Amino acid sequence: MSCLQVRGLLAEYALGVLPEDQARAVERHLHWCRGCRRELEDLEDGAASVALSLPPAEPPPGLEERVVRRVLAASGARPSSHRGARLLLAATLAALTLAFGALGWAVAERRQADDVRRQAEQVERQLRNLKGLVEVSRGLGATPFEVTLSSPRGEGGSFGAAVIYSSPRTDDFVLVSAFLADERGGPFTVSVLDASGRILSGGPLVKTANGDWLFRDQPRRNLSRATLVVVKDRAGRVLLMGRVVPASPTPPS
Amino acid sequence: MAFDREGPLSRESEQELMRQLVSGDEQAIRVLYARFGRSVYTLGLRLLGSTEAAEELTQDVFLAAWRKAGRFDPSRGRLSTWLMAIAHNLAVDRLRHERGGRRPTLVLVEDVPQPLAADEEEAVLDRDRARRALAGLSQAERRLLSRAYFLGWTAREISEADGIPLGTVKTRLRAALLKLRAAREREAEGVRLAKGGPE
Repeated sequence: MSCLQVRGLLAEYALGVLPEDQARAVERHLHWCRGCRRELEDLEDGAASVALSLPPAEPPPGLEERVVRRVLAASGARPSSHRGARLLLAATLAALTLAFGALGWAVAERRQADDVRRQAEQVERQLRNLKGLVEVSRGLGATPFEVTLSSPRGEGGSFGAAVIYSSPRTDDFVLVSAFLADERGGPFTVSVLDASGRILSGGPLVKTANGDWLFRDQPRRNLSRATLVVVKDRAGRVLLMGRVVPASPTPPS
Repeated sequence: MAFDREGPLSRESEQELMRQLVSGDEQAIRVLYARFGRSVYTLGLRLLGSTEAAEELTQDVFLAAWRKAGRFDPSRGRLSTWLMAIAHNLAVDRLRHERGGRRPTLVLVEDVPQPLAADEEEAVLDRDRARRALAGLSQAERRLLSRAYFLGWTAREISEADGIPLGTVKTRLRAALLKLRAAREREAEGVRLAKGGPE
């Protein structure tokens, strides 16, 4: 789809009324076209004015507490005992993946990562950490997948890993953790693709307090179809890429 | 970083708030709700037509915001825009689902509201700016936006219902949205200047 075609559909897309098939085609274009993304941002800003202009209605007392409890339970920060199995599973997976992210890239180790061999060891250690969590997720009924991210051009210095959980009992979950040797090309974006190149999940990497870059998402899509995870810089250059493979049941030696 | 529950947030503060939301920080959730809970609930009430549905939508929107918080990029738009887009999309999805994929049934019969009198404009800075922006649209433009935004009609459906060529509908929708955007930007710039300089 060309920019001209997309521009003709963007107003409807911003208003949320574009038919599903056309919306997906627009999203594929937006993924790589910065100019159309800019146009969309302007249109969405205009659309938000319509909602924000409404004479305010007073939410019922207690709604704030319900909102807070629901988000906390889903995030795993303080799971409610009243949540159903679906939310409990989501919360558990969220907590596991956050733990995985925190375990993965210790700053002190990273600073010593001055050769390819050491970097490879770090990735391997990261994956071993991941394996333990993968077994837990399997026990919770989710199908785990793993990804080792590396530079497609063989450039050293940047590397990463990803984990994907797919489960019929909850929204599927993806977490990408990366170390980027050169952080000047940001913002960096992650795409999770299926075999036909369709984007199943994606968004910007966010830098954590540890200096790592993380992306996490629970798209309402079946991530068991994911085949490839790609990290790009602002200019659309692929920095990291890795194939999605089923997580193996035993830790690597 | 601590956040006020009112007043404008810088882009850096918006990003930090989203970072805290990602980790499930309770204070971040409460700040986000304090700032946008009423707007989201209001939109839900107007689109879905019942307090129960509006409450459910509000919970869904904040849960979705937590799930998508990692995607929020302040360089690509304001937090209010991002959150209200989530709210609107979820509401339209819900209407479509309830109608079995058919065009959402008219719940809200009014057009986009006329701007209110000045003495009623006091609640939230964003709302104030938005109302002023809407005042710059013609009645025809407000009607067109109303059909798409509140009723969920596609450009083709509007074209057929109103007897306007499809290309004209698309062009007018785009022009109306860009007018609103430009007006909000001018209002925001005015606030910044009144406070003594650029952000």
